[in-house]
Amino acid sequence: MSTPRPQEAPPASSRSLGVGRSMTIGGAIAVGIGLVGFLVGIAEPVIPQRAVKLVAAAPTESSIVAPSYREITALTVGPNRTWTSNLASLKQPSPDLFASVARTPAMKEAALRDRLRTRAFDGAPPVIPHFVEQQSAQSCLVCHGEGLLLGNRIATKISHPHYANCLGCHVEQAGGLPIAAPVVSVNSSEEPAPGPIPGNVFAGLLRAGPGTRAMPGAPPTIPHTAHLRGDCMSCHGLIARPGLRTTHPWLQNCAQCHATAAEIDRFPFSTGLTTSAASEEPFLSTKQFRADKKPSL
Amino acid sequence: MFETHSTDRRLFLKASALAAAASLARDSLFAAPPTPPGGVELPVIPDVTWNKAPCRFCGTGCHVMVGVKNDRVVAVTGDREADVNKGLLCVKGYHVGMVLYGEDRLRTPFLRKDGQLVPISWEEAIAVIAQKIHAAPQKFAFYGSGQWTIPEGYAANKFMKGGLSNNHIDPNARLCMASAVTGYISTYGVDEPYNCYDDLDHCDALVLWGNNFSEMHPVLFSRVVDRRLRGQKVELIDLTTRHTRTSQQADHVLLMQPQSDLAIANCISHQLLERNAWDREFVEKHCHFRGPGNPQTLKGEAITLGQFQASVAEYTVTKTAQISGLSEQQLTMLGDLFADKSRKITSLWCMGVNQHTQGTAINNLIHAIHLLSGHFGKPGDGPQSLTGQPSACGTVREVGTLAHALPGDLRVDDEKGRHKAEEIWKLPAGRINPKPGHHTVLMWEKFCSPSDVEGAIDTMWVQVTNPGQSLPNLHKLFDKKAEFEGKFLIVSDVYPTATTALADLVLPSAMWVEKNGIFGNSERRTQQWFRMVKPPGEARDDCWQTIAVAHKLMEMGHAGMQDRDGQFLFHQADAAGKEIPVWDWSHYYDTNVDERLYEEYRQFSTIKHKDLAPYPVLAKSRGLRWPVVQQADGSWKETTYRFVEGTDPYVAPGKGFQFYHSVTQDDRALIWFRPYVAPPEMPDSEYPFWLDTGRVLEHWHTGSMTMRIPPLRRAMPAAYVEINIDDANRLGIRSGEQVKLQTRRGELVIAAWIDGRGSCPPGHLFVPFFDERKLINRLTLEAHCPFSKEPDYKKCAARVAKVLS
Repeated sequence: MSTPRPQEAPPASSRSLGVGRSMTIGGAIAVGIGLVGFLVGIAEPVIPQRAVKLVAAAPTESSIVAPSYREITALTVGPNRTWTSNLASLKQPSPDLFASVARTPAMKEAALRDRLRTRAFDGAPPVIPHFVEQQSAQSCLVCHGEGLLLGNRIATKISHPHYANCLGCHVEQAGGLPIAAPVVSVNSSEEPAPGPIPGNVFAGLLRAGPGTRAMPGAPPTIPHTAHLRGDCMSCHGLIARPGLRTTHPWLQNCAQCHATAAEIDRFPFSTGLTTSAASEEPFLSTKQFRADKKPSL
Repeated sequence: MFETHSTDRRLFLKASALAAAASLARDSLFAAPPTPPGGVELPVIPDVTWNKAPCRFCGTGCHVMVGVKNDRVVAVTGDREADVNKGLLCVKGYHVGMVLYGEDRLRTPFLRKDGQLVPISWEEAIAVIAQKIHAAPQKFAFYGSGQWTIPEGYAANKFMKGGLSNNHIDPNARLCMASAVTGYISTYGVDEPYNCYDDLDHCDALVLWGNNFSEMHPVLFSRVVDRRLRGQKVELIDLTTRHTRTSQQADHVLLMQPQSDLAIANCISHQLLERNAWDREFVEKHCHFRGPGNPQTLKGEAITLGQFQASVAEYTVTKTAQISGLSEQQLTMLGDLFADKSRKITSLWCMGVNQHTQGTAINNLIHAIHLLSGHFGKPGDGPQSLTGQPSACGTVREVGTLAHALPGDLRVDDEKGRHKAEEIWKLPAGRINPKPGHHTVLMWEKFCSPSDVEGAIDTMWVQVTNPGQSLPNLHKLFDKKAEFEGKFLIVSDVYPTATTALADLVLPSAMWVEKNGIFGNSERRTQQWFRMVKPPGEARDDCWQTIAVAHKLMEMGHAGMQDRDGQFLFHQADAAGKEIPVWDWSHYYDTNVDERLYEEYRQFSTIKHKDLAPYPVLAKSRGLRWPVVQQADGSWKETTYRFVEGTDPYVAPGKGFQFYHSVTQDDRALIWFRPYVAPPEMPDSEYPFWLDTGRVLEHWHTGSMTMRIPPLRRAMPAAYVEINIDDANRLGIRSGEQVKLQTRRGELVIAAWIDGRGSCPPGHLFVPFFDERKLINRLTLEAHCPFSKEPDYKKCAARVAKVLS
């Protein structure tokens, strides 16, 4: 970047008045300084380089305490602190609406597996795989409002923008005290906290399975509930796990071709939620348990 | 294994301390999320059966759809047909299916022999209980729960009051909403909110009285904030002693001094009168003024408008600002709000107001400002108390499982009430004891006392709750039990808890959708569900346990277990008139015992116009709000607003409003004055901090269920003490460090957290009570409201110091 020199003083024709001359020179200098400032301002910013990759020291039993405010400036402590803070390397090309989408069964499998990392069962609200340091809905929506692709990380677009009390349903995958894990006090007779998570043998519904097609080439039905999933692009758009992306992102009206399955979505009018289609009672009847009166204990 | 709880478990935890600390480096948790069991290759939807049930947790009463496959719950979703939650749940609700599957579920009865809990048979367990009761029926007490289903509470109540002529039955809800009960009764003459959650869809302003609505009733909170998101204006006013998640969303955060809510409410009344902005027409037509009496009593005394005006005149904006710590502008803003007739104001409260040594008083005062200002009776315009347990209203308030009560709002100390109950229960006259039993705090005090003191309790049966963690001042009211000979503690529960640790007999219970059930939520909604899966091992229904003990006592010759015709108290017969032996577990589900008990109980519900729907109608609904009244066409109609003409069928035409169970028996509600009274323990030089206890979003009650749900436990793994940054700096405390908390009653070493989930003002500490390894209730005060007997968990004096290791 070159720094332009101040412009020449105006021609001699205006020298008749001494006062006018000094004003002219003063004005020219002011304009010059302003111009320099302007040109510097519009120039490409210098990217601050960090010589050292900042990684928090591995915690040890005795040293896990929070940094003081003085120390915070020297640490990266935010949700993304495990990344190098080089924004240039995280820059992504804008997703191309018409680029061909490669999607293999293996990619789909990987995407579904990845999806379950943050869910207790299919249908449970995903837990938050990063720290939460600001608790307002607005701070969630900074990244999740429209979705964000940064490095290899995806901040999923909110699929239910009409429900934005985010932290009522989504909790941190590992929460609790910031930075410091509670440690065992050497002199304390107290039990350590937290202890191991008690086992839980809940085995949840894991995935819905593929949708059905009326005939080869027909659009598949939606194999999962659409409840609280108002925006298909949240999971199937361009900022989504590659294995779940739609092959035709330019077609935006998904439900025009892909039908929801009433029995899966359990619409109020589909009383297909009974145990048998023949049953007229909407719910399990006591009778079923009478037949079952000796539970195997 | 169960035995690990008391001994090995502790060692195990210690041994794994290092591993735990290492595994809690938070990054590693994010880097290595749990592998889902069984992989992902499971297309399972077609084999799943879906049925409705209310959520097991809080008093909101959301309905969930429970997905069951091969006798196991495999999924849960919000129920879109439910009015309460309209398809939405909170994080606890979405994971409620996992409560059944903690690995350490109790599967067999245990009896303590030589200090160790050893497995025994159900026959032996039932016999042991019956023998203990038979030996000294009046030294037996039943400690129940707002998590009891309605039939469970009804059976226990009938067993105690109708069978044993013993009124020592009280529920944990005494610790939770008893002040709301006394508040409603002394204001309107009859318990429970007249209004419902519909208010949340209509209010223009929401005033939260010491209520962290965002974390405690998240689905209802969403109902309000989602309205704001749609562009509707709802002003949130948060009266609180600490900054919470609710405060973050609030338009006005009014950070007040503990206990000053009394002064603030009186100040609002004063401003309304001073500005002549009260609703003269409504008050003259439908209200009387009431003073506290000297000394204060529950019923108080009639006063005139002039006396009322003089009483509240003391609470000027200037003086109230001094008491409360609010600015004069903030107090004036509250005055302006209630003076504005054009806006609809909903007040909500829960533990902050109820767990209060002046709990009845502050309940009275919140009703008073709404009645005085006329912000009453229209959708969105009125005061409503919330509850914390799924059936605090249904099983405690309506079934009357309190030491002084009988079903249907009858009282044991009222002769007519006793006769009515004896008539419905077909008991000989005089069976019911006229003397109220011990309330919760007294009951546990008498259990933790020598056997020869007046009113001593020697045998205690606890069902569906965890007093070893939730009682206040635990050293005095629970731990001390171990010091006395002859004290026998029976605990029916689903997991090992702080209570089973001291138990002499442990009974494994069925829970939630492992049994039939009925709950009653905060808005008078009675909700029914059917059993969907079998309980694990030998776990059995709590209701069956009560009936089995009653029958055993009858076999042993206890006359009280028979009605006046000589039939068993819980006699059930089939269509042919043949007795069904419901006390025998193998025959318990030969009939729907829930339905039969409920239909018997339903006779009580019409006494105070709290008519319940028949069981089959309930089974088809997502809950119905009483009074549920049959229409000319045979259908059953619920009531959204009680006492209001047009919605409540019991209000006479032309009345507008009719408080038909009025204290003064003239259809009028009472506008109370109650004075500000300082709390019994306040910070001083020795204990300079206020200690507040409470809850967090992820955990419910004592955490015995939610701490066994991995996503919830991982999100909030342990209790902590919240401390202000200035106090922490002064004391050299940093986030994550261990500190020692002390009060005059106990101490606790716990991690500090500065500005975490919430943030405390200087001089205040907050500790959630969900963590059984951090029993904060060893530090809390058992001082309680003189009328409701509900203790104050929200304020006592404490000190805090860094632990130097």
